[in-house]
Amino acid sequence: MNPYQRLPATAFWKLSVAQKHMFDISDLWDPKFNIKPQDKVATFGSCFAQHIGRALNKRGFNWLISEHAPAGCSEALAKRYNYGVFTARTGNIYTASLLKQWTKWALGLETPPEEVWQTDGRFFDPFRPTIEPNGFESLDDLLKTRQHTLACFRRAIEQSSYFVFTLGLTESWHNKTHGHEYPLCPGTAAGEFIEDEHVFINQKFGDIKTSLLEVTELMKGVNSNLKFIFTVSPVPLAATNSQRHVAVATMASKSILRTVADELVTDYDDFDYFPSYEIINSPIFKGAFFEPNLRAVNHYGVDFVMDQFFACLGSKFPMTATEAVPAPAAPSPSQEAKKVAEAPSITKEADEVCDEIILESYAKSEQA
Amino acid sequence: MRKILVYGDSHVANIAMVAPQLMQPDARFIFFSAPGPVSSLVFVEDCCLKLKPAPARWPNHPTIAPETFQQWYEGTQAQLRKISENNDYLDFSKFDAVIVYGGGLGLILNSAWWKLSTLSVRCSQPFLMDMLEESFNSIKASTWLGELKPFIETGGTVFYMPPPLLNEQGFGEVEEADQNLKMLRSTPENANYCRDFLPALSVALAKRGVRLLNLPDELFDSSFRATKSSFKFSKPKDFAHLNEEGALLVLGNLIAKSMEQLAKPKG
Repeated sequence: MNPYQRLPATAFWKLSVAQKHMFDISDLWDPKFNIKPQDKVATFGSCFAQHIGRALNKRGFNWLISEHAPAGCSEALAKRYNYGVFTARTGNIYTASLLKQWTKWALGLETPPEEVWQTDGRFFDPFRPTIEPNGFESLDDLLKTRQHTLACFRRAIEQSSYFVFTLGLTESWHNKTHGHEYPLCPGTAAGEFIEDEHVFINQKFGDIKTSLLEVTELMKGVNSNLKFIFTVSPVPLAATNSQRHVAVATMASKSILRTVADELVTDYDDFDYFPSYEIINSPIFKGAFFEPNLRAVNHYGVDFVMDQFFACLGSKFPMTATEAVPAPAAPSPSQEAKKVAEAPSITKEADEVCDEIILESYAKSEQA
Repeated sequence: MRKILVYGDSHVANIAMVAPQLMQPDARFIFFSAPGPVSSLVFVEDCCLKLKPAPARWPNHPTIAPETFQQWYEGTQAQLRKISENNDYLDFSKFDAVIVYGGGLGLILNSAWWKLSTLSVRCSQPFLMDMLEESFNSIKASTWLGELKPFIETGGTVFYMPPPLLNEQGFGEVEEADQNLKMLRSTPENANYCRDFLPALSVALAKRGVRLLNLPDELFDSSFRATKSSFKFSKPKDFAHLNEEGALLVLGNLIAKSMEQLAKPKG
């Protein structure tokens, strides 16, 4: 008997893909950890990370929110100020190195730089420039609020059992003099771009792997039981500064991030990887989960990804599935296909908060 | 002599008790209070404060009998008749200023005050402002403010003074939804959160022509998040009202701050 004769159906394209309706494809993830409904799960990262938190909450799992909006404020107001988007109000953390920077500040290993951006009398935090819809009223307000977020970020590390991090980008912007990293290029959402001061770094495999190993080590220093689940954002780059076509740059970036995650998950017991990137981007799904701009993921895609997450978890750890709040009954493949086919041509981008989209506004039309 | 109307819920009755001890030579303060459930029947129309007719049936309450509600209503009605000299309404134009004290301007604002003042989170000032705007746009608050608007637009002066915070014994008794009140055992840096709220409240009220009267700092405990235990009301399980010493402090504050502001030119 050769090794292929012992393999399960999921190992064969013909059986697990070609002979199935795309919405019947299952078992895409073999979870390492038995995440129980009571386990605290922190979520941070790129735009797509926010869907994981919300889905955990919806299914009765314990999505840890360490920075709450005050009781009594409406959901809409809380969202406008980015409460409840990620576990704490860090805004998007696109890169592993940015996660390391937040972690070092939160653990008191480094101090955030004094840099603050000012526009029209308003103050903007360079490290979360869109966290407030119109910036802060004063420097004091900005600094104290960030300090609070750092305390909440630290609490997330200390209290959570699982830390879900969605890797978004390899392209990053740094301060040449002081070395700190910005989540967005200065001069886009706020601030001013200074040629000699702001440098572009397209991070390589080794840099990203080192950053992730360092940051997870730092986190485990304060919470030795913490386990990590990585995902790669399926959302293509809004723009690239790599001097390549954005489609090529996207594929390169995502492939690098995916490879880093794969290597870490293979080599370390405390790391797992959930394939949201593959589910959305695989040709199996024929691009059905993208909006017409082929970048934004529609809510059918988000739902399908998260359904897979819980289905795989429940399949491997049945107790988890029975303890959690049951998910809404899954539609049949034909219903699911009909929903996607009938989706209005202009739909919301699954209510996603994504800072990087600002870069689209700098695109010049070819006619211009 | 200035004539100033102070109206609101039971907190007005609380400070009215000590009013004879703080008689002013140059101002006459007139108090009108309606206990909690009855206060929802108080309204302002054509710049006059009025009382709606009693409902045919009082709402079910776990501890207060319908007869008690009716007694409270009749007491409020008698109070209004006496103050208005049998007119059954209070004409605001006869007063130099109107002060709303306690759970006025809508219970939503009252609730927001309690919650915000006991926050364990640090919010930005723009967020607080937006949250207050949301509170003011709630039905109850906007109704009250809408009723007061004609009076303000004709040059009338309206002040608002929020109710005292709960005292520390109240925190074991609060509903699950208000658990943040339990966070009173706060870290020292939390002391400033309440103070952050007051400037935002002041600006939000000023936009609507209402001036804020801050409660006196001495009323609060060191965390600035509860009424000092030394001002606790003696009645068991009454965590909200003040004893004589506390009432004197708050009324003295109300008189001093309102007189000071009335002495200043408007605008």
